[in-house]
Amino acid sequence: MQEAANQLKLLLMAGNKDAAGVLLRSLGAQAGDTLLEASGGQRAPARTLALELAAENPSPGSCRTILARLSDSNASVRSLAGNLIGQCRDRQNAPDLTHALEQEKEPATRRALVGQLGVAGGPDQIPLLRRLTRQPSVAGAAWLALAQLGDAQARRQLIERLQDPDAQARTGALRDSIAVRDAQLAAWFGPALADWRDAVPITGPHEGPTVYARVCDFAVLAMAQLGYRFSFPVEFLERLSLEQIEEARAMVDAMPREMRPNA
Amino acid sequence: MPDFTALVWGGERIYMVAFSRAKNGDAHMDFPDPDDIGFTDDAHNDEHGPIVNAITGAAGTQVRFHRMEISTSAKLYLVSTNPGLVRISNPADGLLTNARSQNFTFVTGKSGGRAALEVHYNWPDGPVIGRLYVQVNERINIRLRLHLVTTVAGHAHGATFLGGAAANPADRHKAMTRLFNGVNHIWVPFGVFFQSEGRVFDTAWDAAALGTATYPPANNDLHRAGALEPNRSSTRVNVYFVPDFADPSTVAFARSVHRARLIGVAFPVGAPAASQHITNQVFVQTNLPANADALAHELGHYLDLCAIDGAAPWAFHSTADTKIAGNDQKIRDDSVTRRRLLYPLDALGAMAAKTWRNDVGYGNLVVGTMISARQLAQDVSLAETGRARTAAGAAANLYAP
Repeated sequence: MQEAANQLKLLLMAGNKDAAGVLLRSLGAQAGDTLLEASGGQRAPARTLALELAAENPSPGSCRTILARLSDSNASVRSLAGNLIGQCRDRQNAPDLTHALEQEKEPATRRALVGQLGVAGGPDQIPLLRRLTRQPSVAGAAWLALAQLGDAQARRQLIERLQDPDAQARTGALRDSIAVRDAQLAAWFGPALADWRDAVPITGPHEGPTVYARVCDFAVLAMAQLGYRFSFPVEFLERLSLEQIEEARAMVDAMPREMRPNA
Repeated sequence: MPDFTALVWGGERIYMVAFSRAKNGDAHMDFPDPDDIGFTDDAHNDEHGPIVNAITGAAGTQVRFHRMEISTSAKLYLVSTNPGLVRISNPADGLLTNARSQNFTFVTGKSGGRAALEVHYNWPDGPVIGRLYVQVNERINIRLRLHLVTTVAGHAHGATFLGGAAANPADRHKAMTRLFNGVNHIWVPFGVFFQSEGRVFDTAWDAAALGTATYPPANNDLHRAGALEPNRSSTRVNVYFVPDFADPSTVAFARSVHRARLIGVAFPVGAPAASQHITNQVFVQTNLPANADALAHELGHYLDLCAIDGAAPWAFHSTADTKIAGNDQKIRDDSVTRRRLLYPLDALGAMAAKTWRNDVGYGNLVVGTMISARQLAQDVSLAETGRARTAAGAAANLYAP
């Protein structure tokens, strides 16, 4: 591996991305570890290139390459590494994410690492995530990660938030439901579908007078993202007609009773 | 004749010296526009004075110095509180000339940080009568992928491309890349460098990609095609150049990662998260002249400057004024607001009665490029420098699959 790592390092130093990519892919299972070995070069462009290759060739070793660069001396490299945390999807990387979290002090990076434990983590990470719910700066990410891992308490908390009287809290819960990717959560969208309060501005800068999506509009989009299909297309966040909202409500009302809270 | 002759009746704040941009006209990275919006800063309680931004390793940043309430015969010295961070290179000994206004130059070191350039009266260690704070920013490259959408629903680019003749793809690629030179002149002092990769990606979007046969397509349809574009990069900001927008007067528009996540839109709808793409991206209309200021403004939106998530007219822009009660009155249009990059119009509205507002140092009826640094609780639109650098440097905030 050392020879391949040296060769890869030379290619990274030379900025030869194509050849480095070919070499990396030829290494098979060793590729990630070789990339990690080669990614600690002196020059920031070479380390940047290593991160690009890590993003294009996901593996546990690629994830370790990314996490190793979170503390890079160069701000651009750190920024790129921080934006690639989402590439760490393999269960093998859960301990690496935990280790990186222990080292990391920057709040946004900590939130991203905690959030990624909801994707790459498993039962072993649940105690840690429960402890992290007591740290205000990462509590939201920890609760969401727990819900993604199927933790019953986090799921109950998410369902309670779907019925929160505050429109923003309710919309946030809908957003988290999309991330959890559990279609059965739609069974608790009833209150949101009956909520006609403005919640999220649809229009961006320079797009004329602000138009808001209501909580009910966001709930229909969340259902579409969870895999439900309607008689009308749902691709964007937009203000829907009463009939369209009613169609979504009818779908939720028809969901099996055993999926409902306190059923 | 005394050096200070102003008559002070009761409580009055006196500024004996002031600082401003060292040139007029187009923005230039060596001539940043000092933030003199407020002389207090909630984030730095002990600082009272204007502040200017510079990137690490800047070889010659110029600022204009003005004697406001001090005579031209007074000996004044400029002294850096941290010469390792900010060193005055002209005048090298710090002694200012007797001119009422004059430019001075400083160079910055290799590390980021903050220093003050103090104006000392009569001796280099005499009383301090004014300060300019200098925030030295470490460079963060924001990586761009430029896409030339050669046809949109069968419509090609015109012979005039971004305001110039560019009839073949190579010339168009050059014009696209060149546009960012002007953008970087605005953003570099804040430590933000927009870095294109070595090539431009060509693509074509048909009605199926757009989800509509309507031309020009609505912004949402462009967002759909951009999210689903096969050459889309997950490690860069994707910038798509298309011939026409539904709004023919809009130069460009952008959606940040934060905002794309906020609105929950991702394509393909309902697909597993690992195969979805959100709609964080930038669009430029090529049938309008190249306008680096407007694109820099849109990239400001990409970096979530100014108040976000609110309602018009104060959302997103420097005109926000949440202290005025009526919604339709929540607009500021003073000369400072017009100097800011996030002023909401491409061209200023002419003012017949307040003509001094028509030129804020960048040309007649041209918006400025200042990005605010100070933070004041009473103005949610300020502290843009910090917000931009947070957006550029924070995890999971700049690029997305």
